Amino acid sequence: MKNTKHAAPTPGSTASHLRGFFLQAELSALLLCLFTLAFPLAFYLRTQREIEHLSKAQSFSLEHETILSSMNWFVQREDYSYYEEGEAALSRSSLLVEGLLSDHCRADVGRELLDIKDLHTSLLGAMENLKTSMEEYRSSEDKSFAPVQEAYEAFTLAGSVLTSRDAYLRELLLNRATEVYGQMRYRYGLFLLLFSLSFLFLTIESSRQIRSISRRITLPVATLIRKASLVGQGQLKEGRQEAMPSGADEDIEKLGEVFDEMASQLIVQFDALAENARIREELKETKFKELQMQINPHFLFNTLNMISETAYLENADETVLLLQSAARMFRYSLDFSGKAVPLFQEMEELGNYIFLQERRFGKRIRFCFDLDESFHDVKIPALTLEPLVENAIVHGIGLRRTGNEIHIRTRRDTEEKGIIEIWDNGAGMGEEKAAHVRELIASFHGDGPRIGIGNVSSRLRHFFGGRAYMELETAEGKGTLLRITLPLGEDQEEKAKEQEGK
Amino acid sequence: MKRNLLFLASLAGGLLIALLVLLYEPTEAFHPDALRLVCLMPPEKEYYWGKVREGLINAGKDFNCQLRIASYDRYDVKTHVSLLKECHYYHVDGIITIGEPSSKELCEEIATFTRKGIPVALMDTDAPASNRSFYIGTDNFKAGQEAATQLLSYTGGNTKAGVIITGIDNANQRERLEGFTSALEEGGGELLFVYENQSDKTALGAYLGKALDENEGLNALFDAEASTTSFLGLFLTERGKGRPLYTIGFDEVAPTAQMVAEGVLSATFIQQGRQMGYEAVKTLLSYIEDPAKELTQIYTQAVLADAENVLEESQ
Repeated sequence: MKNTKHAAPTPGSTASHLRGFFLQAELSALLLCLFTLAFPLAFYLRTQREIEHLSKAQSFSLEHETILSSMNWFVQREDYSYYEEGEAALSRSSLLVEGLLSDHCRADVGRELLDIKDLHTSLLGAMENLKTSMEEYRSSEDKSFAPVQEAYEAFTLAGSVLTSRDAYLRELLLNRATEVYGQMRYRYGLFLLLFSLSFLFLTIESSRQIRSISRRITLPVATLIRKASLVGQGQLKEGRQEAMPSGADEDIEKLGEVFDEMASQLIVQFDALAENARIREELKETKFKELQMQINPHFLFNTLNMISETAYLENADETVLLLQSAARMFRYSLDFSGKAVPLFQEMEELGNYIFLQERRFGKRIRFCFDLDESFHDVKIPALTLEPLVENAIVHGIGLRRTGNEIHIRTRRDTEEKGIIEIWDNGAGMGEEKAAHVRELIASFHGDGPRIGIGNVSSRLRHFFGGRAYMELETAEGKGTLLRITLPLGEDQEEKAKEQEGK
Repeated sequence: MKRNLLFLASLAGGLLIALLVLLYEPTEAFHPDALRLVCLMPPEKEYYWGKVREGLINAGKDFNCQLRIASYDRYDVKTHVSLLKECHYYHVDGIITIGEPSSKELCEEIATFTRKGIPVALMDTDAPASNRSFYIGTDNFKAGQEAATQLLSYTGGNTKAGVIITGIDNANQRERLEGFTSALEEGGGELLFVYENQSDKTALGAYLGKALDENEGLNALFDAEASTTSFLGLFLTERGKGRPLYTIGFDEVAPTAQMVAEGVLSATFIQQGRQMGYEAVKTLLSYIEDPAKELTQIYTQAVLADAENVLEESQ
């Protein structure tokens, strides 16, 4: 047999309310039924008791008549069997009186019964006197019947008293029974009134309970169904916004909350899916652009190699170095574009670029490195730093002839954060331009052909799932600082691998 | 849930209380060992005896005794005696009844009980010859005196009175007459006639008409008989007094009280029937407890009420 266990319902829950309602309804009906049965039953038993008393009184009254007639026959026929019959009737009558006496607690009836009991004793005495007189008469020689007659008259007198008293008792019991019946009929009317009132009260109470259940359960469930329908139709936000009615049961309220939470999650998931789709589209476009771009770099790369070899044959060492750096830079761009690389590799590549820029600008720009390599194994999208340094050169330094500095610094902020800062002491930006760049950093979606700050910021956001971010600090004439904060830690490694896989 | 259980408990409690109230039956507790008293008296349908019966029943309840009240429809010494004789056949601790001094048979029957050690209390009417244990009721002699004094007061001492009684052989009536006569004589009044009407109202009407015609100086009437007082009032209303006539009755039924209140009758005696019944039981029980107690006559109050207080006193 399957063993099913039901947990007790939590107070305030729907199950608890429904259980309470049904328990109340069932037990109320049961109580009303018991009440409905109890009164008529008591009514019946009460009247039955009176009838029983009357019946007993009638019985011993009949016994009294038997005694009187038996003794009459005893005197007339001198037959002792009649005496015995009278004696037996008296004994039976006494038993009936005793029974009634033990069953009755009413003062007036009790008193009458006590008197009848005494009258039985008197009657028995009179009967014995009569019997003695009869025996004396039968044994005497003069055969005088006068003593017997005298004893019989005494017996008759006692008998008549007994007869009148038991008639009175029956009248008393009959009056009592009539009174009880009258009372009970009156009370039965009251009972019907009470029953009707109780029934009305229970009906009103049940109706109130049903309204309460409707308010706490039915209405909230209907609202929940509407919300679910809206969600089902794809109207997630409308479904989420549809408010649950107040006063719902705790568990239904909780269900509503869970539903809203689920809808919120769905909204987030759908937004994420849309974003991913957009990114995939963007990536496709980027890839296409890259493929287009790869044609020229390969040609350029081969050309650079060829020039480098020529320069070597001509002993133009400086030219060789320049060409080699340029070639490495193109190679890096070709090999790692769209891929993740460790920060140290990105730094090496940046070194190539800076070597070329130093040769280009000579003493006009001084590049300073202050690196904390403890986190340089963190992977970042390739070609993250080069565009930023290029920006610093193009937009920061501009046409200034001397004293230009670009600082590249890495440091570990906490165990979980690595910082990359690129600072130039160039022209800086006005408020308006800074706001525009910050907007690009915050919400650049890769539209347009340029690969600049916005593009780098966008790639970092996607690569690190929003956990990496870029900040801009600048002021007109006071240079520009770009700060990239990277998340560190083991989970970041997994994330990087995952991103790399994509 | 808690609220549901509270509701159910309230409903169950309410229905149970309703059921108990519907089935409640106040019963007079029966105490088989309590003293058993018998009272033989006129029927309760007579106003005065109804009040006596109330007093008896109240005392029976208060003193926790078994009281059996037996009545006869119309007074008859033979019936009275036979009812008394029945008491020999069952256990009785004490008897309360009314006396009839003129009935030797009744006196003898009462004596048989007192000889057996069963005390007998006589109320309303005494019969000292019966060897009763004690009498309790109105002091009829004193009431007669009081009636005479009041009539003397009404007439300023110049009282010419007539007295109506049932019969001279009735002890109560006789005592009232004796008391009246003694006080009237003492006050200087004059008794013009004493009429024994034997409760015959037709004869009384005829006699009164004649008496009023023949006795011009008649200015006071004392009706010592309860059953004819209201008739006297009706008679005077119909006939008219024709002169200043002061009347005192011995009855307290509503019509009589109304006639006193309206001034048709000057005053009437109101006997304290409830008090008499109550005191009869109470005194008899104390007598059963201590038979050596010296008791002969215990008088209950009889108020002579006039228009001012008759309605209040007759309640």
